[in-house]
Amino acid sequence: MSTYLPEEVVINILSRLPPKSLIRFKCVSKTWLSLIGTPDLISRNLINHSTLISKSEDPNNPLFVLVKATDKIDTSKHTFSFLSYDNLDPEYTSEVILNLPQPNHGLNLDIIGSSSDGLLCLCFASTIYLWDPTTSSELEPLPPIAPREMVNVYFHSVGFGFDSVSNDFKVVRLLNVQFRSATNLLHISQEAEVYSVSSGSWRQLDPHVARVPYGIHTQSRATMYLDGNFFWCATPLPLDNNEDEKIVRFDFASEVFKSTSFPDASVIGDYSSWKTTLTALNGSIAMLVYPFGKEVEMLCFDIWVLFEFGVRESWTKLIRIGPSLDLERPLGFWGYGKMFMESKEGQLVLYDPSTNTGKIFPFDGLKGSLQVALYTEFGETNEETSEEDGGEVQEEVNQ
Amino acid sequence: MSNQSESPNPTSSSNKITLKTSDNEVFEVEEAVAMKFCTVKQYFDDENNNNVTSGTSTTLIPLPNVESHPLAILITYCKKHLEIKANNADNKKEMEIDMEHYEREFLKNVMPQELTELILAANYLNFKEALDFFCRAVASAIQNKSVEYVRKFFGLESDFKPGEEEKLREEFAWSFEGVDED
Repeated sequence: MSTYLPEEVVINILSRLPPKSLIRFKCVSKTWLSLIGTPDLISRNLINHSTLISKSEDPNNPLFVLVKATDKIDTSKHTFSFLSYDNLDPEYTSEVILNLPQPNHGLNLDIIGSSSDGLLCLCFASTIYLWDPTTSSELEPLPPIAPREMVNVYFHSVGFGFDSVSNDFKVVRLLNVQFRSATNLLHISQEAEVYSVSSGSWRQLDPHVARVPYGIHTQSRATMYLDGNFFWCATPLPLDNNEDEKIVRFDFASEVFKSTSFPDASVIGDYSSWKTTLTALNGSIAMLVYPFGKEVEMLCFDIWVLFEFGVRESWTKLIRIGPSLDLERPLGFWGYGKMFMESKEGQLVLYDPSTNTGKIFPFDGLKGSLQVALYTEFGETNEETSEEDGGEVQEEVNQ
Repeated sequence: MSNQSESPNPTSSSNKITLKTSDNEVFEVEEAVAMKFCTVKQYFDDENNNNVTSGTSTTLIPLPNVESHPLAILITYCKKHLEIKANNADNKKEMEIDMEHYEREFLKNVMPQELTELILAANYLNFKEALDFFCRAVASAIQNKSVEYVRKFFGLESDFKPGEEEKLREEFAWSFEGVDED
């Protein structure tokens, strides 16, 4: 059939395709190659469009955007504000006061994730909490790490998510275990434990079956959740030359870890030192890479997307955003290509990369404490659906 | 049916408009249907502006770029579209569900190759809802297909120099995994 479709119709069709198809169809012809374009150009580009914007009208959008801020003066006080996902109007606020043993700078109360029935998983230092914001302002910690004789056990990271096979929410924590052998050699190993909400207890995973990652250090605030999997950014331990920087994934159903290396450091770019943020972006794993250090005055960052987990070649660099004088830290995507950022003054800003403008929200917390997460619904207020859908935890967007 | 408010005869919904296709078939359609085709609407409005006194019931609009086969399908689609809209005037969600259901059934009776013909007709007639629907349908039909299938579908030939395509395929090898059979 020799029908010829006009270019604007072809673009109409292509703009509805997922990024993987677009990347494959670059091979159709020279015209298609240039229509689909190179993703690191900000101009009209179908891969950017497909990844950043096209699914924003998803009917499965969460109901709330959750903003956490820590009080500037009393750092044991944390405010959780729930904004309507659609229009970002404030709907509900909950304040939590944590009685910490000592005021601890540089440590944050982090949101790890949320369940579809309204449970939040929080973490401060090595203590993990499951909390229903509608029922109490007190936090009950999960059982701590059991002490062992002659062995030091250190907590190093935590994840939270849904196991669709056993229909249960689970917490996973990674532990560093150190002990000295009879010959006084220091042994270090890594272990993983899983807490299931239905059983209410921790159990250890077989490190070989679960392929617990070894020799890495995960960045506690560069994490995300997507479809039954939790992801961390991981860097190698200083003495381990065999490892490289990677993203580590935990699958809550199979309870197995898997990792994918970062894009080549030479590709990541011209930043002499950089930080990363992980965030779910329209069903893909997105990593925001931005320069770090005292000499950095204006923030700009690159959006990298890992389209296929396990395939390092599928890392694709989308646009570079910025530079912006006022912004300091990306927090996560909202929708319509817009994202939440923390400003230099510690304010929450909704930033629109296409116009390079930002809208400031009145959440004024301790600088560095702001966190944004997606929250599905409150357990009590919406009984009709919370029972049977038991399903998906919305992806967490945090740093 | 907001279009009627702009037409010269807003009170009557039974006004007929005659469309003549390139293969000389004549279709008599309700004004409300014809007004969804922006190209027809434009022609119709121009005619009326130029000739205020002429009776509207005899309007015949030639469509030299549209054949009868796709036009018949588009008219059916348009009628159904208007009907679903009218039935759910106060419930957008219900309307979307009904529309989705109808569109799913619709696609069962359309061959993928027929879609390009329908797209060309909808594009010429400037019938936006149908054009978007068909483009969506083509996108989901080709989403998991091979490069070869897509070329055949769109009637395209590879115009890469020797080696260029191989290089691209190598670079994006991961995107060729898990593709459906043609």
